Amino acid sequence: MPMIRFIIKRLLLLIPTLWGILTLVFFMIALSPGDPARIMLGERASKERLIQLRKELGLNQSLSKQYILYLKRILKGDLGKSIVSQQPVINEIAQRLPATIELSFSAIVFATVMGIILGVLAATKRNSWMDQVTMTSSLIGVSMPVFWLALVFIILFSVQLNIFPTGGRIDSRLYFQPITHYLIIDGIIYWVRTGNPAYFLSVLHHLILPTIALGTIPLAIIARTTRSSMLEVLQQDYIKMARSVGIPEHKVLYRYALYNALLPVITVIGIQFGMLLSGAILTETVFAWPGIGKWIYHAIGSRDFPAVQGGILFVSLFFVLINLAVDVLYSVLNPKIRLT
Amino acid sequence: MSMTGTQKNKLLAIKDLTVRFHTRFGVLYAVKNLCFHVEQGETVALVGESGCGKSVTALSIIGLLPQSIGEISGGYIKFQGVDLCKLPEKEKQKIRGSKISVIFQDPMTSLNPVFTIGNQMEEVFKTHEEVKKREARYKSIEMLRMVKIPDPERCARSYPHQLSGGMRQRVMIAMALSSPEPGLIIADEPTTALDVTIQAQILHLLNDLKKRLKIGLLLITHDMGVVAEVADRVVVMYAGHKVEEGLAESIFRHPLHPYSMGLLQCQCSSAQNRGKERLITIGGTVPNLLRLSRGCPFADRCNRVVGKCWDSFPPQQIFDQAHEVYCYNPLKEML
Amino acid sequence: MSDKDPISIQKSNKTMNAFFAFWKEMLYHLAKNKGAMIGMIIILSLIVLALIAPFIVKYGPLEQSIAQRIQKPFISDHILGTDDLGRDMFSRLLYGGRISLFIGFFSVSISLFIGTLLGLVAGYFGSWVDRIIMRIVDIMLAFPYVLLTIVIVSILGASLLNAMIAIGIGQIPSYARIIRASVLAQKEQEYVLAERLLGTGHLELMFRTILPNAIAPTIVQATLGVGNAILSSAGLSFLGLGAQPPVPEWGLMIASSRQLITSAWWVVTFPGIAILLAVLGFNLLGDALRDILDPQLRD
Repeated sequence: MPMIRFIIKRLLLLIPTLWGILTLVFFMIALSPGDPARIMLGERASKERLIQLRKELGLNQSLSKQYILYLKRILKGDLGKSIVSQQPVINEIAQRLPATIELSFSAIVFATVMGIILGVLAATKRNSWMDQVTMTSSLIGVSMPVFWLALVFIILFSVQLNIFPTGGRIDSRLYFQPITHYLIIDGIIYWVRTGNPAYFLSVLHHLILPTIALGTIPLAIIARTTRSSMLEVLQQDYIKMARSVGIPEHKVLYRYALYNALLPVITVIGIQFGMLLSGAILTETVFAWPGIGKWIYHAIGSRDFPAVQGGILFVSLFFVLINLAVDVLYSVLNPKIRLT
Repeated sequence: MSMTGTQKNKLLAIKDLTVRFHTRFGVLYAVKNLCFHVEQGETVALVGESGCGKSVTALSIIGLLPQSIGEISGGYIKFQGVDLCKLPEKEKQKIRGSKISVIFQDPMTSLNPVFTIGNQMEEVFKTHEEVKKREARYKSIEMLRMVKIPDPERCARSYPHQLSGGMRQRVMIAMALSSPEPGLIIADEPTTALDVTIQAQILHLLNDLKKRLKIGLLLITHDMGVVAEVADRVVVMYAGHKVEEGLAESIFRHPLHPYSMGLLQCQCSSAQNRGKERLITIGGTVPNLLRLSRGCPFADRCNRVVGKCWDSFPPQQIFDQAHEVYCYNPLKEML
Repeated sequence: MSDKDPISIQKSNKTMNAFFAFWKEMLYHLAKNKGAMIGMIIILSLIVLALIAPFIVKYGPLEQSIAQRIQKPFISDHILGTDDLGRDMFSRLLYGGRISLFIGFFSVSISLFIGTLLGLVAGYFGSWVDRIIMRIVDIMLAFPYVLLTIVIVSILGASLLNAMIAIGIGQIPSYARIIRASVLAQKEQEYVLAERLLGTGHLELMFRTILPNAIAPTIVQATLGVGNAILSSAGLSFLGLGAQPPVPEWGLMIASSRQLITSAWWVVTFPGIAILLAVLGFNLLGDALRDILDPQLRD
């Protein structure tokens, strides 16, 4: 099974990268200015307590010893304990992961569907007004900070027009026990069980604005990529060939051209998904969305080093794995690579 | 074989075809007043250097000129008596791939890389006939067998990049013939991208199929060796104009136009001398089609040029056996 | 006798001439490209405004005034309104422009120089040097960019200068890769081999011969990089890791006025528009440059 061998090879190549990330994050904490013990215990801590805590944290040992301990700890899955909450970082992350994934996923689906449609339209009606508008707006889209766009959306649609709520995942007045923590799914389950769509609708209501706000920039990029990929494919000889054997134009476009054109787009979609996840730090707070991003944001603000370290580590690893998955997906879908 | 055969005999009749391109540098005429015909059962070779308008002619016949820049500005292209230029797009689509098929130059890039051969061939069948998948599959494999591909079932399951150049070209030929009643095949440089050893095989395959299916073959090439192998008649083009036409034998024995002579000399020298003598080439380069003069476009490269050549394009002169030439100073001494 | 013998003068003249001819042609293409022109106009306006800022503002960017808090734009004395501390938005935006331009050029310079150096060395010397450098580059690229800059700023300490350094470091891999690719392609070319046969030293070969030919694609990256730097800086300020108050950095202006979305939308919106325009300008120019430099100029 050459495919499995390919995946294994990629996983192995991943190891030095993962090690590099671990090391970089280690130095991030180890070299940052300030004394963690003092920060944890506050200004008024006694000298003895400081020394004791430093010993506990292993801060009085050499850098290399700390590094080894750190690696051992990470490989066991222990990402440390949050100073603020005193909970293991792993738990904090696990609690908040569904929220982040739900939002990112929703945004990327929105971006993909709209992006591909717009990209194809722009490519097939080249130089028409639709093409120009798509290209221009997509250029504008990648020129603005995403958190600002989110704020503008809130100002427009929540504050001024009052269509959408300003934040949160659900109307806080509704009480419900989450099952999967993916509230969209939970909402559907609840609806099916009790016939009451209120929960589901509230979740949807809260999800729409953040989805559009977050999805706009990836949409712009996906539309652009689809357009240029489509244009390139349409120039190819095999499209000329398909036309010359009499295949009707709509089939030429949607069956022959699109499949080829979408292959590179898939890579872009995957990358954008990864960027959404890692950019969650900037976006979730704006919507008071209780995900990993918001949590890391507050952790940075409160100097909660273990939390920041654990959070960044987790997100980076996730990001790397997504990139790997995208690569593998591309190789599977492209027969040229799959069968070599 | 009379040149003035009735319209009904002619499979393809092109008269005064003029094709214009609108580029950002100006208007250029890729083809000017081209006239020739192909009859059923014969192989006509359209010869000339790259850029002389041969491929444009092929595209014009099937109506696939790039619409934004190219247009047919004059003449007619009659296929089985019907002027193709006047047909609506839907009708053109029906003819493409069924009655007129094109085999393109580069088989590597002309096949869709993400679908299997079988898949692509079945599509062609399904487009022109009402067939179910199973029947289309069966017909595809039979077609592959007809073009002498070993193990057609395996080929049908493969992707284009898994086949060799020769196999791919055979697949292209098979696709071109995948219709209930093929009429004309246009082969645009079918062997240029192939090994010398395979070239002859492909050419003979094409010729065999032509004879068997009783269709016409329009062979577009710059290679006189290819012409010598299989052509019945030859049309020589230069800078979008026809400069000579005649039976293959006539052209080879006594080429009348200096350009045709040049082409033949290039061919012979490379084949026979093998580096002992310098390659004979035609000096100069193909003219810039944007700035064509009034006269004969070959004038500045011709070694037999006379004063009249610069003034106007030469009129037709017919010699025996339907051999026509457009030249003020043809090689009459060859006759 | 003199250290510049005729042959080397001729050589450098020829290279210089080819160099200038290349740039002249590029300017010609740029002038024809609509996007490039718009982009350049925006950038030039930005530079001009940044330069004349002190002369055209009525109020200083840091001047607070309780009385003038939250003035609406266009209506009041302050053309673009004031924020919750009474500071004039117009002035802050213009001074923010100076800062943004500085951020852009400073960060890009760091990445350009270090990245080019690394790419040159890696591509030229090959073997283990190449492998190590590229391994580090790959690891840096595997990191999500935002997080990488956060990590670097954490190590250095939160300030605008460190943010700029972090952004600069974060972009190094892109330049290194581009230069290295070009170096590798050039190593096999005739003119390089000819130079080596003539006995040209490593340094001269790298910097005189190979480097000028490798620069072109980095121009695209650098132009886009300025826009990128402005966006990244805004992000870092938003997290409190970049510019610190009261510096009128555009991103910080947005971040510190989040609570004003209901009361003073202009304080949140205008800095964002400024970022948008500035980055758009650089993106337009960068895209146009990329189209021009791309050998596939088909119609």
